[in-house]
Amino acid sequence: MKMRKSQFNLLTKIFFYIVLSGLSIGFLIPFLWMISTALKKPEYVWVFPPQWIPNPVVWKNFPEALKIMNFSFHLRNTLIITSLTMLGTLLSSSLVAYGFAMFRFKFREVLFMLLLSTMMLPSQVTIIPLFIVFTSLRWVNTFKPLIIPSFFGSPFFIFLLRQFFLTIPRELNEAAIIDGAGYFTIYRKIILPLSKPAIASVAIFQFMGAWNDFFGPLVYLNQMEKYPLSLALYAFRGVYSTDWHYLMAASVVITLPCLIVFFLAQRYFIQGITLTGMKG
Amino acid sequence: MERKSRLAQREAKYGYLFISPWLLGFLMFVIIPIIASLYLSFTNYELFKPGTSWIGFKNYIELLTQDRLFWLSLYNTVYYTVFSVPLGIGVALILALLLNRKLYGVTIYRTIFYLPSVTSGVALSLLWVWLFNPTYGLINVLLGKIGIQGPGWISDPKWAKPAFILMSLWGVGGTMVILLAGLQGVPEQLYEAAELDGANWWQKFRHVTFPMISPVIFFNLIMGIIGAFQYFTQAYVMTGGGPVDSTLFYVLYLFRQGFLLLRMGYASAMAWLLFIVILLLTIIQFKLASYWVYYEAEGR
Amino acid sequence: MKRLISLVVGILFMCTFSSLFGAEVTTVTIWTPHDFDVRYKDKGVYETLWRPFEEEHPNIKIQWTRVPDWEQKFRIAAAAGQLPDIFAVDGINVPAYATRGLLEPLDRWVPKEVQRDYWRPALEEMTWDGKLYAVGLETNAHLLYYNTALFKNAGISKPPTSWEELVSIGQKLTQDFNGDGKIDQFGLSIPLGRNEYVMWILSAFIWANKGDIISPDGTRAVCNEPKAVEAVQFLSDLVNKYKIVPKAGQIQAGPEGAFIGQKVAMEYGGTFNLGPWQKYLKTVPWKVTFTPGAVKGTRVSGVGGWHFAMWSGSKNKEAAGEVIKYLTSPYMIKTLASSYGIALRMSISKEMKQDSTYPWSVGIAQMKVGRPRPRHPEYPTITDAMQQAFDNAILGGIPPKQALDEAARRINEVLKKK
Repeated sequence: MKMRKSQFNLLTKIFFYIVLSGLSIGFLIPFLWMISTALKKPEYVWVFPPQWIPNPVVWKNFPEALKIMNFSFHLRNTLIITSLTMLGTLLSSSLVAYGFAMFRFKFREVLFMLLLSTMMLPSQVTIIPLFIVFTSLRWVNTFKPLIIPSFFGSPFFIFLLRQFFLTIPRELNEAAIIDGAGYFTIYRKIILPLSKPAIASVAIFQFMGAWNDFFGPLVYLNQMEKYPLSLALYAFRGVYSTDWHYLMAASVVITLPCLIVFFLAQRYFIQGITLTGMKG
Repeated sequence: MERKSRLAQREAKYGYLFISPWLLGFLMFVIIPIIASLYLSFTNYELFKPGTSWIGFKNYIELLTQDRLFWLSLYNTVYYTVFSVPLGIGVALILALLLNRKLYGVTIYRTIFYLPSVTSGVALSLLWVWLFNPTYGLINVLLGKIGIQGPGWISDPKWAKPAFILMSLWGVGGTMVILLAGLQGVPEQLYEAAELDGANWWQKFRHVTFPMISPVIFFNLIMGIIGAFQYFTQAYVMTGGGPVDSTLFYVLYLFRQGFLLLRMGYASAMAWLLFIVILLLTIIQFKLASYWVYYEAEGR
Repeated sequence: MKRLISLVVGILFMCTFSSLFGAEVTTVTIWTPHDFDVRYKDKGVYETLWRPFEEEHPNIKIQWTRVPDWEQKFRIAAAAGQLPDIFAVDGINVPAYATRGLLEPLDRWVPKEVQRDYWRPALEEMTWDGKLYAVGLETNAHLLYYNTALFKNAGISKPPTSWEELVSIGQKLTQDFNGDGKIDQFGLSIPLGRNEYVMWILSAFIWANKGDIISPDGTRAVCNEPKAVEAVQFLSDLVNKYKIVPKAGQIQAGPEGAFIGQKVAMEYGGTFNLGPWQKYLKTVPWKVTFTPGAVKGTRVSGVGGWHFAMWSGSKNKEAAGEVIKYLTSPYMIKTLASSYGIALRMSISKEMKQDSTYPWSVGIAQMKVGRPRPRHPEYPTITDAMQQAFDNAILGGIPPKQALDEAARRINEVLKKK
């Protein structure tokens, strides 16, 4: 019996690895092509049949691309915007989600639908009036329009966290209230610890969203010194020609921090949360 | 009895307090653009042109009765949504289930599948144009190697939308991560209890996993619909709506009317019609949710 | 006493100095999508482009910004009334922006003799309704690129000079080398799809056949008249009947794909490729020639480019005017030409010997028979309707007359409104 079980486990394991590896290759192909292009001399980028292994391998493309787009300078801007919006989003969105999930109040359903509906109007028609709002506040050509709104909650994350908070049994809340705990204490000591994977997801998504945000900085920033990496990347897209090898090299480098953040956030994705310790 | 209503009052007060950041932000940054765009939809506002005047429902009537491309772009968008959302959630769910275990190297696999969501738009969109090239692009070259004559992808009106749907499947990493987080929250004891009752993996999925992650699946469904209906950037960069308007998605057409043809009033009307469609679909989904979404907190 | 004197001297000193330093410094802001920072990275943008001006004008500073996604950013900023003093504008948009009051007339800073020194088609793009609204940044003409190695392999010595030759030569160059039923090499590549580049190249086919898109007085559409229909039929035949053009379209970012990949022997392109494609000469031995007219011996070229315009709402018009003057100077024309190709002023172009140096000479010859796309405030609709017609007729299987009738209907609708 035991032997059969372990054989079965081994087979399933091998099966998993095969399936996963097969899918991985499919997912990786565009990237491999990106890296391959990043290492080519410009005249070999478009050669046919497609050259997978560049010949010659031009490692130089990477430092050159980073120098041309002034990477370290614009990195600073991206870091400022990303870290502040992450702070703002995590703080505000979780509090608002807690409000929608754990409290009963009049108009709750209506307000929640209102929250969702703000995501249903295409930004193309709200951007001009919004831009005028920011102009009158004199926030244009600063980071303010990019950072300050994140401190007021983002509908996407509020909705996400609300769904997660609703998976937490109500008894926990009620027990804590009977014990005299304040709502904020419950939030801090019960809700948050049980929602680590959800919070980690929000952190990952917000980081990635802010790190790659193109449209916001495009519209609100008028001076090149203020450009984050996402705009600086366009140095390689001229009006009539594109420096593909540099564009791909720079894109690869810009992607790396997001991967690192994702990798590190994985330790919050611990499998199987037990609730036994929560009674009393 | 009195104590309960005081508790309820306190709860309501705190409820409003906790959601106040969003409420404030809404009043400051969101409501003005919304009202402005609604107002503009009833005018003949054109970019850069002075002299905007009220024209009532004319924009809406023109859209619904005279604009062939309005209906075509709506069709294209519905087509895209109907396929990409369920397929996307399905694929993401399978990946999340596969990766929700302590396999060696699982973190690496998760990172690989998440990678597409992380890359900056432009470089990748242009890369996909090259990948989809019917004669020299990588996809057809690989298909050719296993004996399949690849289709025209984004250069063929019949295959352009499927091409975008395929591209969207490539980007399910984000959905996968959310589902993974949801799976993490399923208490181990429930699985143990089910096993004691002799449940196999399908029964476990159907009676333990699925209900417990249904709130998260619901989230992906709603956000998937909202997002798919506003699909824009890839089509804007890669095809411009062609060939023969097969990839003219609704928001792309809106962009063309408002930004290229400068008819911002008309585009605003388009936006509000889309809003109504998405809102109706969302409300329907919320009503249907009571049949399949299980919230532990509400103990149903 | 000593203290009083030093105080007075100090005050006088400061007064004199402040009259030198206290003079107001105006900053003129310029936006372009063009990547000056990359093109002029050797010496730096400031050194190359702006310092010569600032040295001559100590009270004016220039602040230049490259804008990544021009379409969206420009329109949002313009709609909100937040434009810079000077911005780049695609020549096709000058009538639309000028009629809507966005642009400041520039005649008072650019004398007529200087204006007449610009290439005629470029000058046409820069003016509207008798006034000058923009000064050239870069301008481009059509070219037919062909791969001499592929030509040699097929035994062809000379590129086509008429539509008939285009087809016959194209057919000889469209080959299935290994007999597997798939064409490995196409004869010709033209842009297909939905973008302005398609319009730029394909509208010239209509002119090459002596047809036109709107009437010269701009009152009605003529794109569905026989000569134009013939031209679009020819385009459709290239793809569907003679099959010398592959259906995969080129992307706006750059036509590198098929021609540089050596899968296509000829390609319609512009003079803007002459610089960037130098690096490909080692692997792809290309040459350029004129775009053939429908009938042997006739020639026409499309011309288009971006220019500098001044915002009518600028608060620094006088200072910006000085910058406009500088942008028309021989130094700037030469510097811009070193990056973007054709020198915008004929005298400078001659000085740079562009008309006698290959491949620029071909471009210059094309400029001489060049014309811009239709000049009209409703150009956005005109180009949208025409792009739709091209798309439907060539890729959509719709008869050209029908597709062009629809375009004419749409165009007439907006022409009537004005």
